Amino acid sequence: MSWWKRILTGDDETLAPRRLDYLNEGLALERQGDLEAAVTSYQLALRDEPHNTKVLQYIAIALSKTGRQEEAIRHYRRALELDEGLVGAHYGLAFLLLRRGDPDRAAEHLRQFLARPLRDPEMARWVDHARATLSGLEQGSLPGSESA
Amino acid sequence: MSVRPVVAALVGVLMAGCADLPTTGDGVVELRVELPASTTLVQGETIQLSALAYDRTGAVVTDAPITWSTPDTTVSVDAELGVVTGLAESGSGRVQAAVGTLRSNLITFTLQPAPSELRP
Repeated sequence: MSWWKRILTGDDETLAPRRLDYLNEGLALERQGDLEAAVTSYQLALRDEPHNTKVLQYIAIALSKTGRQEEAIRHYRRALELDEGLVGAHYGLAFLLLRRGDPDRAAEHLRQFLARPLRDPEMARWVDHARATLSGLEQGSLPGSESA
Repeated sequence: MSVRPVVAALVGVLMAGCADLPTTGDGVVELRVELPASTTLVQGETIQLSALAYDRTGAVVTDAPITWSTPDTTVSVDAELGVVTGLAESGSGRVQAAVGTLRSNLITFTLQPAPSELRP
């Protein structure tokens, strides 16, 4: 920017605070296997955009990989409060609930996931796994599914 | 050199070539496992296998008592039904069919972890 424009407009881009792309930073850290650092970056991204459901889901995934299941569940639930149609959140939450020993709620989220057909044929693996798991829960053949 | 031992040896070889194929008590001489559409198996999921037993005329032996087994711990298989379950989340697992002492080739499955998350 020229000194002339700076005098006339008072703008100075060099002094404007730059927002860091914490989401992409988190994704890169996760790819490198540094999950704790990725969670920190995602949390900073969420601070900037508290209603970003994508960020909420990325945090939930990273948290569940680090064994922080309860926090992961909270983030998935928050994402679903904001948008109940998030298939990824229903899917991830179902398996976390199943691991926690809550087959009834897990089955409910699997049904929600399967009720929203995915167009991408690449998703067949997820759909198949959800179907197989739900079927196991309904037949009581999965561990912890007796009450389902 | 006497011709007689050579002739005897040749007859022995020919007899061996014409010997009966090994059969089971059910007359089964061959066992063919039908390969599934995919040999990738997700941990916790199952694949149904089937096999056909043939007699020496090439006819299917419908009542052959086919059993299933695996030498590995990464998969399990129902001995009667041939339902294979992925137990490990990686590596491979082998399964084979048998009728009596007659065994099929080993079918190898590649194991995959169950997808526990779906990225947005």
